[in-house]
Amino acid sequence: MSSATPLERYLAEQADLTPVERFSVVHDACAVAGTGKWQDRIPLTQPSPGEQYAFDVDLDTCTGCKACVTACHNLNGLDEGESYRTVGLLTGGTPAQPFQQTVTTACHHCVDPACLNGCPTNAYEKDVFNGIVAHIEGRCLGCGYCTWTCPYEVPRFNSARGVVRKCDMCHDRLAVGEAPACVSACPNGAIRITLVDTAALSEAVRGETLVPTAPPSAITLPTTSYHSDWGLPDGLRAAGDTLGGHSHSHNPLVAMLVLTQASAGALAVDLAVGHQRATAVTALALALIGLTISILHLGRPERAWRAMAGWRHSWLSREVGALGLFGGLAALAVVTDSAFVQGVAALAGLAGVTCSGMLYVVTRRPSWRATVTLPRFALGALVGGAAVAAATGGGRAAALVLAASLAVKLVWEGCVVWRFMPERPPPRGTGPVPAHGFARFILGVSAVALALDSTGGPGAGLALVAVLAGEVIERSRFFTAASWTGMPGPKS
Amino acid sequence: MAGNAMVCGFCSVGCSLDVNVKDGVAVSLKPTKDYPVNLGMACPKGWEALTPLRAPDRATTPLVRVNRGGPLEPVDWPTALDAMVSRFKAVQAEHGPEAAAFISTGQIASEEMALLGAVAKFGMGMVHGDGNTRQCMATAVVAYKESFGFDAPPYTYGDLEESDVIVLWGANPCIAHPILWERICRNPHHPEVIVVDPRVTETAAAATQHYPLLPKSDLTLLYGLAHLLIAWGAVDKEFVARSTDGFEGFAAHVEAFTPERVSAATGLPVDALELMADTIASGKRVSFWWTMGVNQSHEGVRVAQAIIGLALLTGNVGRPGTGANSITGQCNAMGSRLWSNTTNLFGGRAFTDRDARAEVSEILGIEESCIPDRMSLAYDQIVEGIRDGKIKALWVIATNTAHSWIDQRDLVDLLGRLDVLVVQDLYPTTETAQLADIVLPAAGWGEKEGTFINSERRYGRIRRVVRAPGQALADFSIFKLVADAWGCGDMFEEWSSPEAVFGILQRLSAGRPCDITGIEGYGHLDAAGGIQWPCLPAPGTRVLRTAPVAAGGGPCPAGEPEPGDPPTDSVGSAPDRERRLFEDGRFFHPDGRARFVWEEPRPVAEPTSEEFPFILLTGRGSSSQWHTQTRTSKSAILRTLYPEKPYVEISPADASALGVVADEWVVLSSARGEMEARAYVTPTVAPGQVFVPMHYARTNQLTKSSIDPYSRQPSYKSAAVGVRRVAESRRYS
Repeated sequence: MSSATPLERYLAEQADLTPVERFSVVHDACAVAGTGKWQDRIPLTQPSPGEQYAFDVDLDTCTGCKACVTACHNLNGLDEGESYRTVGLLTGGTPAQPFQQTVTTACHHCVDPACLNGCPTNAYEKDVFNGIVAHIEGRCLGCGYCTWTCPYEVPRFNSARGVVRKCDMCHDRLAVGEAPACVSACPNGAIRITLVDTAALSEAVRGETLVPTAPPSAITLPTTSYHSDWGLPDGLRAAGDTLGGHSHSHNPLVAMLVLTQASAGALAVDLAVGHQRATAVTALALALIGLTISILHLGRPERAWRAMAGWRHSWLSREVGALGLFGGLAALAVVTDSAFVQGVAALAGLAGVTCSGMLYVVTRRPSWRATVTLPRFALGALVGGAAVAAATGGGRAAALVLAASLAVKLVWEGCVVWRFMPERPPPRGTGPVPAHGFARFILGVSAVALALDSTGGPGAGLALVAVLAGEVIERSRFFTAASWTGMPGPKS
Repeated sequence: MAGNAMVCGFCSVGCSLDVNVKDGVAVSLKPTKDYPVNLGMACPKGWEALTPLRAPDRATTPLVRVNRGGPLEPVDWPTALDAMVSRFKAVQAEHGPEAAAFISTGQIASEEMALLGAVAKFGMGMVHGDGNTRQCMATAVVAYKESFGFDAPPYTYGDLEESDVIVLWGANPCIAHPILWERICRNPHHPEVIVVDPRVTETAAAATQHYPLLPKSDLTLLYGLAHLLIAWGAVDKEFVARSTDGFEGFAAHVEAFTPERVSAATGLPVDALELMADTIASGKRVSFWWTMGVNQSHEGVRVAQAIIGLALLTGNVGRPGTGANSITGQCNAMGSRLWSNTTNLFGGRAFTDRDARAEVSEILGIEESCIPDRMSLAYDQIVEGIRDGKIKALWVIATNTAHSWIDQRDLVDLLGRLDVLVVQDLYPTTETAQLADIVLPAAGWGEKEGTFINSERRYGRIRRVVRAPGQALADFSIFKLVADAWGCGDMFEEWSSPEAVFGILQRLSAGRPCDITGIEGYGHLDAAGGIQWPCLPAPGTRVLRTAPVAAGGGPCPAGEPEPGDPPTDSVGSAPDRERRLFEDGRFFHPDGRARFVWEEPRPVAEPTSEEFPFILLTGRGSSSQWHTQTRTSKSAILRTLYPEKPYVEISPADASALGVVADEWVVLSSARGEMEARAYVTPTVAPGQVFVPMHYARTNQLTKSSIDPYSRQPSYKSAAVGVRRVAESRRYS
C-alpha cells in the first residue's frame, strides 16, 4: 500500500466498510416473547372463542408522520413502493375552528370479509382462532376482483407478481408475542392490537362507519376501532377526494362484457326473428373472443382453471361457470344447428350476463348498484344481439328490434349514466364525461338511423360497428365512473 | 449504541438507526431501541435512509463540462482536480484570493466540515465561505450568541417530557421532527401544548391551544405577552436579578405593547392573548421551542430573542422542562455552527479576534498569516458578490442552491455568470449540479465515517456500511485530494482520518463552552449512546459524575454503569445521558448574565397589493420529504406519501371568490416568477394566505429575497403572490 497514490488509497478505503456486528443480535434477542419493548401494545393473551385480534387506532395521537407505512414496507420486506398500510387525511371544521385529522389504515380483518366472499379461488382464509384474514398468494389468479369487493380497497394488485397482496397483521410476529410492524413503529403508540368480541362488535358497528367518509360498516363488519377523546366535527371531507385521479378503465373487461353480452343476445334474438346460421356462428366467434380476452387479462392466467372453486360464494366463479357453459353450448349449437340447443345456450348466456351484473352489484358501490348495472347489461345484450342479428341476415325484424332497444337504451343512459356534465371536475366517482359522451350518442343515434333505414344491405354492418363502438364507450365509463369507497384518502 | 448503530443523515433530531448487515454490507435498518434520542422509533425518512444510496442516478465519476451549454462529460479524478485547481487559481490570480468562495452544508460530518474549512481558508486562501445552514439556523445562532454569550441551545430532549407547558413557536414537529413529537407524547404531566402558527398544522391540530397569528406578527405578539406577564407580576424577580441583564429596558420597551395594539397587529382576540399569557404564567416548567417560522423571518433574531426574553423573565431556563430552545434543521447543522470555519473561526471563535487566531494557529500548527482576519461574507452576500463581480469561482458542497435559495430565477442567472462552478454531490442530477462546470462525485451518509451533532448538542457516529458506487469518494477524501492538488496537502498531514480530525476538534474545543476533551474517541460515543457537549475529562478518573462544570455543563456520561449505580433500564431520563445547560444560572457572557435584547418590530419587505393580494407561506409538506428532494424522491415508498405534483393550500373562502374548485390547476405569481400548482382547498389555511411546500422545484421562483439584517437569514415565509385560474383545457389535466 505504501506505493499507492492517495487517490488509490482513498478508493480502497471507500470499499473497506466499517466492521459492524453481524446482525442486531442484542435487539433480536429482545424481541423474544415477553421481553420486547412493545408488549403493552398487544394483548397479553391469545383470543378466546368468540374473540379475534383487531387494530385499535387512537386518532388523538396519530399526527401523520407515516412511520407506520414505511415500517410495514421495510419490516415485511415488501416490493418497491409497496406497503399494506396507508395514511389518509380528513379535513373540515368551520372557518373559526378548522380541523384536520390523519387516519392510518390497513386491513380491518372483517368479521364478514368481502374479499374472501368475492374470491373465485378461495385465496383468502379467515383464521378461526385469531380472526386474521390472510391471503394465500399461491392460490391467487390475479383477477383483482377482491380489490373491488373490499369496500376499503385494502387488497392491492401487485403487477410485478401478477397477484394481489394485503396485510396479514404480521401474524408471524404476533405468534411469538411481538407487535406487528406498524404497531411497533408508531412513535406515539397510536396503533395497538386488541381483542374484540366478534358477536358484540357485529351488532355494534351496524349503522356506523369506521370514520367519516368511510363506507358503511354493515357491509363487512370491520374490526378496527378508531377513537378520539376530542371528537370529530361533522361534515369532514377526505383530502383524497379533492386531490386524486379517476378510476381505471378496464379495457379487457369492457371487451369481454360487450362481446359476451352481444353474443348471448344474438342467439336469443336470432331465435326470435328467424334463425340464421351466420348469426349463430358470429355469436360463437364473439363469445370466444370475449372469453379469451377475459382469461388473458388475469395476472396469472395459468391459474384460470381454479376460477370456479369459489362458486358457493363468489359471483365471479358463477360468471365463469355460466359463461363457460354458454361458450360450450354455443359451439354445440353451431355444430348441431339445433334450435333447442341454441335456446339452452341463450339461456346459459343470459344467466352469465346476470352473473356478470351481480358480481358488480354485490360490491355495494353506489355507481354499480343493481338499478344501474342490471338494466345496462340486459339492454346491452339485447342491443348487441339485435345488431349482430341484423348484420347477419336477421332482416327487417332484427333491425327494428335494434332500433327500438337502442333508442330505449340511449334514453335510459341519458337519464342515468351520462347526467353528470358539469363544467367543474365531477365529484370523484363520476368520471370524465364530455367528449366520450358526445361520441357515444352520435354513434348510438347513427346506429338507430342505419337500422331504421336498413334493408339488409351494408348499413346493417355499419350499424353493428357503431353499436359495438358505442357500447365500448359506455361500458368503459362503467369502470371509469366507479365510485371510490375506501377509507379517507391521502393528499396525493 | 451497539456497533451497528449510526445516527440518521436527514434532520437534526439525530435518531440512531441499527443497520442490518449481510456479507459486510448494510441491507436494511431499523431504529435503535435504547438510544436516548429516538427510543426505538424513526420517521419515514429514517426508515428509508439507505434507499437513496442505491439510486440509479448516483454520480460515479467526476464530470467536466468542456463548453458552457455542452454536456457534462466523465473524466478521471486527476483531470477533474486539475481542472478545478487550475481554474480556481486562475480566478484568484486575476481577481484576488477573495474571488473564490465555497458554500458548504449541514449534511456532512463535522470532521469533513472542519477539513473543508481549513483547506479552503488556510490552504487555498479563500476568505468567503458559508453553509446552507444560513437558510435554517443562522437566526438562532445570532440570537443565542447575543443573549447567552455563546451559540448554545440549552436543552436536552428530555425537557419535552418534563414540561407542564410546551410552547411551539413557528414549529410543526409532527411533520418536521416527528420523533420530538413522540417525546411530547411521552410527557406524563399532561402538558398544555401551545402552538403559534398561522396555519392549522398537524401539530396545531394535536395541540391543546393554537394561536393562528397573522404571518410575521410574531415579535409584536411576544412583546404583548411580555407586557401582560410583567403587568401581572409573573416575573421571576430573583432569577432576573441574579442571572440577567437589561430587564428594565426590556420592560420599558414592552410597556407600549398593550393587548389592544397586539390584538390588532396579530389578529388574535384580547382574551386569547390573556389565555396564552396566563397559561405561561401559571406553568411551573415552561419550555419554548422554535423552528423555521421564527428563523426564516425578516426580523427572526429579535423574535428568537423575544422568546428567550419570555423564558428569562419567567425564570424558565436551566431547570428540567424549561428553556428557550431552537430546534435545528439539518442532521449536522450544529456541527456546521461549531466546526465549519465559515462564519466563526473553529469552535465558536471570531476571525477578527487576534488572540483567537493565534490560539488556533498554535493548536493546529498552521501559520497565523494563513488565517483570514476578516469575517466571511454570508450566503446572500456571496450571491450578491457574484452580481458585483467580486465572486468568480464557487465550490458548492452537498447542497442544492439552485433549488433552495430564495428568488430562484435571479440566483440561477447569477450562477451562470461565474467563471467556474464546482458542485460536489451524490447526484449529478440536482438542479445545481446541472449548472456546474465540474461535478465531484461524493459518497453519502452510510458510505463514510464521522460524527454529527444533533439539536440537543449530542455527538453521534456515522459509519461506512455501504460501498459507494464507482469512483465516488467520501467528502473527507475529496477535500484531501483537493488540498494535494492545490499544493497545500502538507499543511494537513495530521488531518489523516476523520477520527484524527475528531482529536483535533477536541483540542480546538478545550476551554471553550463546547469543550469535548472528555470524549475518549469514537468508541466512547458508541458506548455512551452519543455524548452531549460540553464534556470535560475528569482529573485522574475516567468517569465524571460529580464535578460541576462551568455554565451548567454536566458531567460526561459514563461508558458503563459503576457498581452501586441504580439500574437505569429507562432510557431517556437517566441524568448522565440527558444534560441541559445553565443549571447554575450562569451564562457564557463574561459577567455570567444573559441579555434581554429588543427592537421595534419592522414591516415585512413585501406587503400584499392589488396585483399580489395573498401572503405566500412556504414550509415542509410532509414527513416523507427532505428539502429539495434530491434524496427522498429516490424512494418509491416515500413517493407514495406526498402529492407528486405541486399543490397550493388555499382557504375555501378565497377559492370560492376566485372561482377555483378543489383539484384544479392554478397559477401562482409573484413579482419574480410563476408556478403552477393544484388547488388544495382547506380551511386549515387562513383567508388571504396560501401555502406551498418548499420541496417543489419552482416554489422559490416566487419567494422574495428579504434578509434578517443580523443573521443574514432569508425570510422564506413572506412574499406577496397572486392566484389565477389556468386555461380551461388544462384545468384538470
